[in-house]
Amino acid sequence: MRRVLLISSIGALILSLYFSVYFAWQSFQYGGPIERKAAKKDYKYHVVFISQEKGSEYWKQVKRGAKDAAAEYDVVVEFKAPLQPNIDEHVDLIEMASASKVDGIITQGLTEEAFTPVINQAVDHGIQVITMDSDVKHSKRYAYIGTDNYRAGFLAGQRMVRELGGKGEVGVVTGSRRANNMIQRVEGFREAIRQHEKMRIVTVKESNISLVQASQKTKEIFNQYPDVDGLFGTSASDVIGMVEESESRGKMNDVVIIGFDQLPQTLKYLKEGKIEATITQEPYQIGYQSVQSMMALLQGKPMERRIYTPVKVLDRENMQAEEEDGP
Amino acid sequence: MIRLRTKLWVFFVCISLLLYGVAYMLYDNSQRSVEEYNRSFNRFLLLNNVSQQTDHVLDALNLYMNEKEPNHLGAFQEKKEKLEAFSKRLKPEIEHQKNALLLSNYSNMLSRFLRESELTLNYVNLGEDVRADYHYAQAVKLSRFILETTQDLIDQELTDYHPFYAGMVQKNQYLKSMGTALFVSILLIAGLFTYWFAGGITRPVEALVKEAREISRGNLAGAEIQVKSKDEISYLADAFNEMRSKLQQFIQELKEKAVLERDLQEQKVKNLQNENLLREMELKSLQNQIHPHFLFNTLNTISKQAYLEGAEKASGLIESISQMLRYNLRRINNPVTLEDEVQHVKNYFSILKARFRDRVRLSIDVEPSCLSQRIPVLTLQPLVENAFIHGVEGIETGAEIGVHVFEEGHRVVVEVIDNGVGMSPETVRQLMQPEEEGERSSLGHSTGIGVHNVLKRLRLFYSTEEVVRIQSEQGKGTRVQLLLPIDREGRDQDHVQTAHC
Repeated sequence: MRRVLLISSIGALILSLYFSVYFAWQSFQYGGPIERKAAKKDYKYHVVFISQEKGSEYWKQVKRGAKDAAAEYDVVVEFKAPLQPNIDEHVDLIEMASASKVDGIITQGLTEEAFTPVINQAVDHGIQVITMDSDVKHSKRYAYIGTDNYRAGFLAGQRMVRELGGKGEVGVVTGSRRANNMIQRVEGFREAIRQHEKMRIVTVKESNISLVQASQKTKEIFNQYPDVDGLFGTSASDVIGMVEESESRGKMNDVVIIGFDQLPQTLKYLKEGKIEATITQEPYQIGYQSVQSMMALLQGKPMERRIYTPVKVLDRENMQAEEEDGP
Repeated sequence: MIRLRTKLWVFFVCISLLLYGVAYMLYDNSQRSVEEYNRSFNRFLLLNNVSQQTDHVLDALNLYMNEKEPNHLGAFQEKKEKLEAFSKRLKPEIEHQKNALLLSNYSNMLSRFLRESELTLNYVNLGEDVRADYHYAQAVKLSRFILETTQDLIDQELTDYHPFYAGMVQKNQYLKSMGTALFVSILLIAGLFTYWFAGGITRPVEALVKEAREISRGNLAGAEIQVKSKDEISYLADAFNEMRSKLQQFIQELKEKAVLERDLQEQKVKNLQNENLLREMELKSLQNQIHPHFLFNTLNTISKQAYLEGAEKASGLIESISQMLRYNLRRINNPVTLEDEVQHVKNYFSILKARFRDRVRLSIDVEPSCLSQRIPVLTLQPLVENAFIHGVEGIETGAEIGVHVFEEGHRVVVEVIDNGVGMSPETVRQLMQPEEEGERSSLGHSTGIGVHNVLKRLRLFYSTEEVVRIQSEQGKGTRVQLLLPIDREGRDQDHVQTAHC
């Protein structure tokens, strides 16, 4: 009995000593100082890339393109965007970048009146500015890289005319009434429609590139113009709101819907025949080429001041063809 | 020898070192954490100071713009310098890889802010209010940016701080567990040490107590106490073992001495017995010596008178009895020779012959070489008398008593033979047994000395039990043989004495 007690207490001692050492060892593994590696300036240029938002698929692709390009140069690219699409915040970001004395700013030029002064001020402070996706033509920005939005709108208009047989009433939902790219798309669309006498744009509503508002505005169009034949959405989420509202109204077969960009949901609707066509841009290219152009500008290399990235009308037929060709 | 105190010291020092080590580890650990926390906190403080100081600078600038008093200017300058001082600390204290870009933006914004506020001041001094307002507005905007960026930097710091904090929590958890495990360990170490230490003392002590109890009972033959430890206890056990073995040895010696003493005592008792027998004999002789000298002188006178009156036989008889009396009166302590004894028997015989004439035939046959044998006094005559009284006194005719002395091997045999009534085996056995008291049989003897007395004295004199051999058949006679070891020394001395004479 005594022997058992002795052996078991020696066992317990070994065990508890082992655990003491084990826990001491474990505790040493934790609670080290906060890891702070010394900063080393391993880049030559500092570029700020400002977009209206960064959560959407479209902007993720733009960012990926920009990053891939940045990886090829001696440059660090800071990506910034307002939490919600907001012109004032966007302008603030440009001003902050300007105040931060960065080497270059790549930004959307959404409105002339808000963006021109800050872009000009930045350029005056010796900062190179390039616009992408959306342009402010009359500012001192050096170059524009992105979609020819007017032409994109025009292509959508042409398609709408073809779908409706040159006759009908069309409602438009635009991401923003103030943003240049949206304005230009609407203008291009309008121009294509105007060439046909029996075609008419009954209204242009603003969704503020929000899905909820896109549904809301579509509802308003259906309420105000029950006989509307076609719908065009200029920003990526508009077309989704349009389909949702049309389905809930049972008007899916009565309206022709043309959208913008290629969100997965958009492609799904296209496949299902719920929408007729969508205008596709090349967001990756926009991102990639804007950084490339900025680097050329900073390094004083020759470059084009306007690069239009490809725009296409995607419908069921050529989508299938593309899928067969592979990605 | 590792002493008990040393053991205790070593244990105490070990436990102390362990505890101090752990305490130091914990202290060091918490010190590090506090230091890290301080550094982190200082960073927050610095960022906060920068952002607040920016506001202070703006306020001072605004005040000066509105009131244009020199003391406001001084306040502005002072605050601006403070802000500059803060912003100089930014890079060394806050910058690291993750926030380098943001911090460089921040620093640039600060310098832009300072530049704009200076421009504002210049234009205020120049009185160009429009331009001053423009630059003031720029400064205000920049202060807003600075505030925002400060927030971003603090966010970054907090993000960095988060894993550190989580690590600290984890570390504390482990330290707590370690503390518990260590507590249990020390408890067990103390318990086991106490068990070992106390066992090292009590077990040998118990064994010592047990052995000591055995010794007090007189049992010294226990096994040696083995103590494995090399401390005072083992020393004690060794001393105990040694003490016991010495004691054992001592008692052994004591026992041997006791045996010797007992032998000595026995010797003394023997001597005393011998003396007692002699005294007894002396007493008996004295009893018989009623006026011995008177009797002796009278007998001599009667003998001479008888001779003068022509009664020669009577004279011879009286002469014999007188010689017998003389022999009996001699010192009885000293041994005599066999020759003396034989002469004494011859005297006794001549008296017997005068008394009983032809009723008894007496013969003596002695080897001359045996005559010088030493022998206690009054040995032979009592035997012959005994043969006469118990053997042949009742026989009317033809009774014979013979005395033969001869050498047989290494001893001298003195033989007394009679053809009387003989003795029963019972009587023979009684006579042979040395311890048996046979005083009664001495009654009727002329000297009062019985066979028992003779035999006892012979045994004492020659220090041997085997002194007599008795053969007897009832109705046919008895043969008593005294077996005397040859006393060569005595005999040689006698020869020498004889030679001298």
